[in-house]
Amino acid sequence: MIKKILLKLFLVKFIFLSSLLFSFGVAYAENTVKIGVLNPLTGLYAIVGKRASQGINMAVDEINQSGGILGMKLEALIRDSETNPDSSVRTGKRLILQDKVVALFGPLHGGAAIAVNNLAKQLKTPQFPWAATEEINTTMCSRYTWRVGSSAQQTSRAGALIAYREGYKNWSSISSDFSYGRSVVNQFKDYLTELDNSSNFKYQAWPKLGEDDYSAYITNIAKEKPEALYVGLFGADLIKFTKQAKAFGLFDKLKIFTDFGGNHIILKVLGDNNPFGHWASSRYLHYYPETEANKNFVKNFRARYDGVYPDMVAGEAYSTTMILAKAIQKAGSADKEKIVDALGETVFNAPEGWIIMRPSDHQGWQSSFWGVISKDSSYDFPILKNIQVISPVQGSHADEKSGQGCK
Amino acid sequence: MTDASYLLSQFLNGLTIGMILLLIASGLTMLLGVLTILNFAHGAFYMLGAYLLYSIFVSKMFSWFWIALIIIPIFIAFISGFLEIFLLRPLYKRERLYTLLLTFGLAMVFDDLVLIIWGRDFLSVEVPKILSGTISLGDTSYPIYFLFIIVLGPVVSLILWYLLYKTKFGKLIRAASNDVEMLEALGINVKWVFTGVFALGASLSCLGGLLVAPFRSIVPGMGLEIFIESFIVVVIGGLGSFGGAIIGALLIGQLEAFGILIIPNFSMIFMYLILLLVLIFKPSGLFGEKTI
Repeated sequence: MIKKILLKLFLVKFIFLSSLLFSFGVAYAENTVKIGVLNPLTGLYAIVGKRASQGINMAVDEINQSGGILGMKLEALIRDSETNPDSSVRTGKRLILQDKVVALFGPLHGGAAIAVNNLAKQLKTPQFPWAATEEINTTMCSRYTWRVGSSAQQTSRAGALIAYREGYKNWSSISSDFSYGRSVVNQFKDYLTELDNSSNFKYQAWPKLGEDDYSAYITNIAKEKPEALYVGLFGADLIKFTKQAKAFGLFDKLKIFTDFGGNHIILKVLGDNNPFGHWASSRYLHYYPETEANKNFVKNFRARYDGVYPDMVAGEAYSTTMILAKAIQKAGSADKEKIVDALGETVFNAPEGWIIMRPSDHQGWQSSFWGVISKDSSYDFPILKNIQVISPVQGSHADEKSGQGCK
Repeated sequence: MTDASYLLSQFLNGLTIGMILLLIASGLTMLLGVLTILNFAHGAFYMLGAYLLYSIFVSKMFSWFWIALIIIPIFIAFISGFLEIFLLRPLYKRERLYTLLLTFGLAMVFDDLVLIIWGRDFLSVEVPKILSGTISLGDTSYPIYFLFIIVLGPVVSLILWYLLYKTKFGKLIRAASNDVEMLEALGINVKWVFTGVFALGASLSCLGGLLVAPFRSIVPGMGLEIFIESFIVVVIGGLGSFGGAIIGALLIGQLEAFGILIIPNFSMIFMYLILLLVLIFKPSGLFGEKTI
């Protein structure tokens, strides 16, 4: 009889203690804030996914080393978006519902970014797509859509200012026929026309995304004899086009302005095939501005990743992580709604300069950089020189004209 | 630019595109004619040709391009023959769907394999010095390297024609394309004919990839687009018809060059329109006798 009571007591104590331990364990695990990241880890844009992941991981470690956010550890769950809307949505759903992430980063490509955007709205989770297309902070914008990285609007309007200053009036353009490709050129053309209504665009080429052969377009452009060419192509398409344009001697016939051409990855892979003496832009430069913040960022990145220089994608991914961390700090909680409320006017002194999250259109306000592609003896790859910094005041639409959709 | 030099430039552009398509389509059409399989991994050999050229390029060896031009197709011939013997042969007696699935799977494996072997960075190969630069065509200039490809196309076609019509192996290929069972009944070991055709097709495809590498990008998945285009060329030209592949490739090449003049944003329509017309009015293709 006593044995039975002792046994029951022991059992009760055991159950009580283990549930105590279990709840402690759960509470301990809940002391992490998780970010879901959808990056292209395989396929054509694997290099972009890799750089973005590196930027994010570096930011996460820096944050954790200085005590985390609100006493909690930060963790990035990086998954392959496969550049595919369906798998991006599926993985995004799992990250939100199962892994309980407080925010989603990415995807990179317009189509997948839009699909995940709808998911994020449905599941009330802040999303920071990498895609630079205009729709994200205009027609597609919602309470949950935020973009830290420069938009096509900012870099192209900045380009238009440079083009205007340089005095080119007769233009041609070439860009991929999809949302981002059209954004880049339209923003440039619209603003340049506003600045100088004598500027004209006689021939505009719209090859399909992923086009392999630009020779027919190059021949058409050469035929029109414009003074200058605005190139909105990016990634592998830009590499193909530049090589083919060089083969046709196009660089000697007109001035080229390439929105994506200042990105370190592109300058490095093209090497001597770069259009030296022509204009290009990059959303982040590892050699400009020469601030302590930037120099330290580059030093740490190179030390961590085998001497690789951070490119545009790594720089922006790092800043995005930092901005989210600041917003969580500001909100005082890891609750998604509170984070979203705190994001507007969150400020970060990024390696590239100040970034301010504009409340009206949820777009990170930051400077744009255009420069002339040049060789430099301190590097074994080309860089931009004669860098022009265009402030976001000039680079973005006025507050009244934007942000209709971000409620 | 005068109209004449403009038209000539676009015509040459079309020829360049056509020659590359020809290399890949001729291999594909032989596979369809002889082995009656649609090889989804055909584009993978195109991709490997480009990646292997990169590897030889970075070794900086003397005459790297010309050495690569010879040893890469031979290397791929061996690799593909190997794959055919061990992966495809066991599936011939089964439904054709199995070989289709296998080649599809192979294509996906190769896409990831190149990332593992060559890494994720964008890669670049230079045009060999002797072929770089332009020559003037009237009042415009045209890349020498493109002219090289235009000249190489007929040379390779002639070699292939000689192989198909003047050698014993070629006779076996044409016979197998016609009637495999009869060939077997005559005591020929058809298995090795199949392996030979597969290896030949793969090496032609990789030659295409090798030639474009200096002016296109070297990325995973680069084989898919060209595979679809060559398949369309093969269907238009006729499955198993070498001559049809040539005509089809040249036709599609010209469409891609001039199509953007007529309908700038939807130039791909022309290719698919022709495909549609062929399928409706002459389903075996312009010069073909078989249908799938």
